[in-house]
Amino acid sequence: MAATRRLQKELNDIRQSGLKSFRDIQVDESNILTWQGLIVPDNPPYNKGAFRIEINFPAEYPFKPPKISFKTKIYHPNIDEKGQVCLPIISAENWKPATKTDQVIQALVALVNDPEPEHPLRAELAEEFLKDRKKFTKNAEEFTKKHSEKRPTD
Amino acid sequence: MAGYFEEMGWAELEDGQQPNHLLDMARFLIDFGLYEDNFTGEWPRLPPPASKEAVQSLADVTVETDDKSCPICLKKFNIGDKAKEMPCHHQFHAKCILTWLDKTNSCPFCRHELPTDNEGYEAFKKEKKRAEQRKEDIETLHNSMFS
Repeated sequence: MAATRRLQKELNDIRQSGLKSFRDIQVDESNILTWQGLIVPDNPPYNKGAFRIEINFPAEYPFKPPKISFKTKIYHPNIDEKGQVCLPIISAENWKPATKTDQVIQALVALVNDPEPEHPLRAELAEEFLKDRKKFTKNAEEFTKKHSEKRPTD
Repeated sequence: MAGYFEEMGWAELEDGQQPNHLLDMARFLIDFGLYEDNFTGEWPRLPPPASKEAVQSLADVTVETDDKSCPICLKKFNIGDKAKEMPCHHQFHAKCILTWLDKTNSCPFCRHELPTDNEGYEAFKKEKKRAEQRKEDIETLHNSMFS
């Protein structure tokens, strides 16, 4: 399968590059189409924790885009309660096969660090983000402390 | 000076050909400000496959360096490998690029668009270009009057 070979190469490249913001990548040997990893954001209020995500690649990859979902709950205007995230770079109409997974991850990390309230999945959080940043930051920080995973120490 | 039809991006109807009433209606709505989008929006789905003709006329090339890889499967090209080249000069394995162009019409690397066999999409592209041109013309006119 074409997807397998490309994903093996991408996985090796990402592991070797040692991304600081995407760690602890776990892939089941029997199924390279599903990756899990830890998003480690730099910006407050999310820099108090880490967030586990799952990347699902379709069998037709790279002709179809991967899907990303959050396994850790997060208080974020662009990520809903089910962990779904709207990332333009992997939407069906924007996707192009030359886009590599490390670019997708970087786009995701950028979105987590800097929410885009203009295109929200959770309108009420976007409104709070825009109208009462202090309250938003406080809520998001408390939520992060309560629900997120521990940040890697190294 | 280009002719009126040419300037408007129109063609005369063939004998027995009926006007496209839906397109006329859309133009009417736009001209009277009843529909804002003005054709400048995006095509809401994945654009259609590249036209058969465009695919058939892709250049066959022989790879001359070994420092490039196919942007689709990421496998390195060896000197002497056969590849297909898009008009934007990006090169791919034949199997890789043909699979993609069978889904949609743009370069997997830079989005350079090939023509399609889809009339609706081609009309959309033409209208969009026309709308952009019109905007530019108005700007030029404005600048020549007020700067």
